Amino acid sequence: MTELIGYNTALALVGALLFGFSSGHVGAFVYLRKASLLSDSLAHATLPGLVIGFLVSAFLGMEEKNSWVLLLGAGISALFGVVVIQWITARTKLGFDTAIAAVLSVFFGFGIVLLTGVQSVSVGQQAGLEDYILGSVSGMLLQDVIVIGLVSIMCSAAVMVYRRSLTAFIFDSVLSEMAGYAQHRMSFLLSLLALVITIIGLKIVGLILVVAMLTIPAATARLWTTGVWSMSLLSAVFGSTCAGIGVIISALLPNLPSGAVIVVIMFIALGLSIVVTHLRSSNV
Amino acid sequence: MFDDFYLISFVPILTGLFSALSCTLVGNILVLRKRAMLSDTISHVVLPGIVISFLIFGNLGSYFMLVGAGIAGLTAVGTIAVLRIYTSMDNSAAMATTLSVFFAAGVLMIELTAGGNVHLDVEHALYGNLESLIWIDGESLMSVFDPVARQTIPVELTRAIIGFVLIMTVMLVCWRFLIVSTFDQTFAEISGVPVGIVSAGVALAATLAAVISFAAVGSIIVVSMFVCPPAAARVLTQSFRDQVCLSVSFSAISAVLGYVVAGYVPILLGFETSISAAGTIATLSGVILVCAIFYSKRQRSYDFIDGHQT
Amino acid sequence: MSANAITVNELTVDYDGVTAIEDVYFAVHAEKLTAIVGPNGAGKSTLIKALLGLIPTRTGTISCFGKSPKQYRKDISYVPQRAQIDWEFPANVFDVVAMGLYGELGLLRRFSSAHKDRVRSALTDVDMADFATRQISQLSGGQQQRVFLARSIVQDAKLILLDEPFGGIDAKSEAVIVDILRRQKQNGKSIVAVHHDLSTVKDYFDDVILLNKTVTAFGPVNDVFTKTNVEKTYGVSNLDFLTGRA
Repeated sequence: MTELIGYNTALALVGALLFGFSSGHVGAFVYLRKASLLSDSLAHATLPGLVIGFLVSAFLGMEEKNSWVLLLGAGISALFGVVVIQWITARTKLGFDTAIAAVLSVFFGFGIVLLTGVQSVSVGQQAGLEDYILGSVSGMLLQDVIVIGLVSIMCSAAVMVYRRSLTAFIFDSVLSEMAGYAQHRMSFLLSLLALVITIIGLKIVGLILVVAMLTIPAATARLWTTGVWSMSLLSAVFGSTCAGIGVIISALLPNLPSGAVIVVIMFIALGLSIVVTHLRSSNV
Repeated sequence: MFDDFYLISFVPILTGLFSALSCTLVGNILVLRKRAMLSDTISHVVLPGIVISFLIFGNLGSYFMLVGAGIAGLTAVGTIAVLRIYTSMDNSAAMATTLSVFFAAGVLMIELTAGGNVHLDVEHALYGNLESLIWIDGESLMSVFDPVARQTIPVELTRAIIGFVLIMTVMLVCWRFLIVSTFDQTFAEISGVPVGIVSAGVALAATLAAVISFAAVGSIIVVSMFVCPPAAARVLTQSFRDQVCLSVSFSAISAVLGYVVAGYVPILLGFETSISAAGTIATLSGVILVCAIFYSKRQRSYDFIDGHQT
Repeated sequence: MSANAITVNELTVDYDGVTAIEDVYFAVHAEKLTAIVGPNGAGKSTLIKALLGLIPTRTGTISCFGKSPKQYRKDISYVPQRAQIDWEFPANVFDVVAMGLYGELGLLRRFSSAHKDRVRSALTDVDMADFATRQISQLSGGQQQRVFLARSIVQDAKLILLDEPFGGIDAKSEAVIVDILRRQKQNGKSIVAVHHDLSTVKDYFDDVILLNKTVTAFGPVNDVFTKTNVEKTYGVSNLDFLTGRA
């Protein structure tokens, strides 16, 4: 396999398959919770943290593009975004839509300010940073894949453990509260999973398009099945397959951001699923 | 440093200003209708339309860009409708899917055609290129009245001004219909207000504002111009007219000050290059929003005390 | 005097693919207070929407003062449920009542001082003149309902349709609103309201329409609002008549 597509691409492929699986898995629940646009906002809110993480690792003299530091920065930044969204909706008459739109655009804008600032003070190479916006697997290192793979497995494991309580919470939050799953804890768990998926997806699909990973495979799976658990598994398989194909295509045609390729492939899969399931149901 | 103001800064400041004002005017309606994320969707989905007309006409100044963006916008509306009918998607999922697919398609078009004689890069789509709008013949304010010099004013500015005037005029004329259909749609419909046409008009105005702002601030930062000034004005005011007036002032302040800060502060601090003007504008509008929320808290608690006294 | 404000014949309306009301017929007398009463899901809101001409009907006819729905829109004013409104909307009491004139004014006609006087007089009618500059979120539920009544008064329509005018407001405000409605009736208005509280139907209204997908009975409250008819409408027996609880 490695001889056929090269070591780098093989690494990226492993990362994409694992990430695609867990993002589809978590995405099924995000989708049922109707929280797609919130995760879009969080993804954009990671940019300032990414750049600051980069500066910190450069300042500490760490190896460039040290995954852990960058992703930690991205996580803190997105968490701050969640806090701001909650603060705006709780303290003002502004709607949830306005809060997420404001956080999305202002955090991204501030991130761009920092990014252009890094360029002007030119500490080390910042070229790698732009890969996080639209995704690029060309410079994927073994340590990146290890981080992405480990966290993906952890996310999928968490979904497996909590699948019943998450389902109950999404379907009927009052009932699930009575059954002993505190609403705020379930809500926090789901947001945390979406956040973690967003962060590890930055390298592969980029922060602008990562929302598609949490939405499109889930919607596709929903067309084929009705059960929550089967839907989340199918969604994981779809996510994994599309991410894998996308990474290979973007590696074969350099210059193409992997995120954009993956999204277009997932959309084609969704379109085909709509047509096939529709034909099937009208034949019956 | 200020000698070449008309050459370098005059056009970008005005383009940023009129782009921001156009977005803010439409944003006031979107925020009240709880459709703020519509601006995000529209600004992403127009990208492939802009790229196609850019590839055909070779610059971002063509008026056909508007047609391309309009077609992309309509296709996106159709896509959202199809997704909602044929899948179990709710509005937010359908919007998220459509905006990412259209944006991804636009990005792929840019990358696949890069290297030809015309070049539009992805950075452009992400955060605009306000700084590139140089007015070659701009020497002083008098150049504005010189017909020869005027010809070299970048078309982005002309278009931003026309777009702004158009949006403002339509908004002033349709003021009553906008208010009543936003406040109480059923009542508006019975009173004979064409609510469907009003909603379509709002989406169309948002598309126009997003397209004229594309050159200045790109697809993502533009959302801050739609949302932040109206949101800041909303928490401080109690009437729609006051809200619009205040939001327009906030928008103008962030646009002008944002450019100035981005262009001059890093140089004054001794750095060699400047920072992104579009990003600075977005950041400032966010700072204004946060200040407005803090200020409004204090104001509201006074109201509460007054309420007890009467 | 016995002229009909609304006549409905064999009306069937589908809503979201389900038949919401079927073969409905009734007449509303002009210059009376009429209640539409029925259990949840009886199609009351659908009926109101159909009367307003907002949703298509499958079969049947509606006429209002002898006109078809498209023609009579100007003769009707509508007071929505309070819950449907964003009360944080940046508008004060005067602005909201002035919206009642927007249909008549269109886009370009000037809002003259005569129009201002009409708004003020409508506010006086509902005893809210002192609150003209108050932000609508800073009103009590009853006051918000009175503002909407003023908005429909300023429209000067012959028929006022109200969707649960007493939902979520206290007894004192309820009495004030009933008083306003009675005065409007004396001014020659016909009033139709969706109503939930069975114990007050007889006190507040002249006529009643009992609805549960189809009309069980309609007519003057004293003749029609009987234990048998109400139990038939709600599909239960031993209904506690005063509280409306089964």
